[in-house]
Amino acid sequence: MKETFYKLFWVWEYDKEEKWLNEMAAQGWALSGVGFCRYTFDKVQPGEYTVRLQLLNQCPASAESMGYLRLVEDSGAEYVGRMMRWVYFRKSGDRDFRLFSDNRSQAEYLGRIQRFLAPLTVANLGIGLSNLCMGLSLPSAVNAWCGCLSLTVAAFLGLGWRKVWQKRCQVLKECDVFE
Amino acid sequence: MGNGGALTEAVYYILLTLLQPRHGYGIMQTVEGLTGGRVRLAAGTLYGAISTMLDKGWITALPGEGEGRRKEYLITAEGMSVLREELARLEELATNGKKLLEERENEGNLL
Repeated sequence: MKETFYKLFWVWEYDKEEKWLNEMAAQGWALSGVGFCRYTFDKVQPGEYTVRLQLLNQCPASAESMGYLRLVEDSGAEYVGRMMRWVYFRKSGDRDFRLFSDNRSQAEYLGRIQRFLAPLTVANLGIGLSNLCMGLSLPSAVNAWCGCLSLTVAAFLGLGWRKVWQKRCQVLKECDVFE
Repeated sequence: MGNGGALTEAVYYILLTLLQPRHGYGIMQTVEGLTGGRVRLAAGTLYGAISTMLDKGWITALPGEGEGRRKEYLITAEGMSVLREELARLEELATNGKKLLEERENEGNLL
C-alpha cells in the first residue's frame, strides 16, 4: 500500500524534515519517493526503517556522487530519491543508521550545509534590499512587497545558517576530546 | 607524509585495510570485522576520508573497475610510511600508558 503526502519544508528545515520522515517510519510509513513538496510512503512494520537525508557535494548525477550512492547502497541502505542536491536514503532494521560516524566528518558536513545556505541568504538579502530601494522610489508597491518577501526569506535562511553554525560549534568542541 | 599529528581512527583503519586492494564496502566490512563490530564506518565518513587520502597520495584508485563496477583502492608507498609512523606513535601511547599505570599499582595506589 502506498500513500502520498504533500508537505512543505524550507531548505533550512532539513533537520525537521528528517525528524518528520522518521516519525512517519515509526508509525509504519517508510519513505519510497520524493518530489517537490511531495512524499510517497510504503506501508511497512512500524519502526522497521530509519530515514536519512543528505546534502551532496556535487550533483547526484556526477561520477563522484554515483560512486557514493553505490557505497551507501552496498552498506545495506536504499536510495529513495533526490531533490536537487539533497538525497534521501532509508535502511531497514538498523536504528543506528548514520551517514557520518565520527565528530570530525560530522563537523565537516555541517560546514557544507553552511556553505550551501550562506550564498542563498546573501542573494535574498541583496535582491530584497535592491527591490525595496526601487519600490520606495516607484509609484507601484509591487517592488517594495517583493523586497520585503525576499528579506523575510533571507532572515529565515540566516537563522537556519546560525542554527547549523551553533550545532557545528558543539560538535567541534566535542572534537577536542573525541574524534 | 604525515605532519606528525595523530591519524583519525577511520584513516588509520582505512590505510591498514588497503594493504590489499578493496572497494569501499570491502573496507567497511573488514574494519568492522577487525574491531569486532566496534568501529562501523558510515558511508559519508568513509567516502570523505577516501577522497582526502587520494588527494594526499596515501592511497590510489586502481585502474579499471573491480567487481560490479566498484572502484578499488590500494595503499601507496607514501601511505605505507604514514601508516608505519602512526603505528610507532600508537606503540608509544600504549607503552607509556602501561608503564605509568603499572608504576602506580606497584606503589600500592589502587584506584
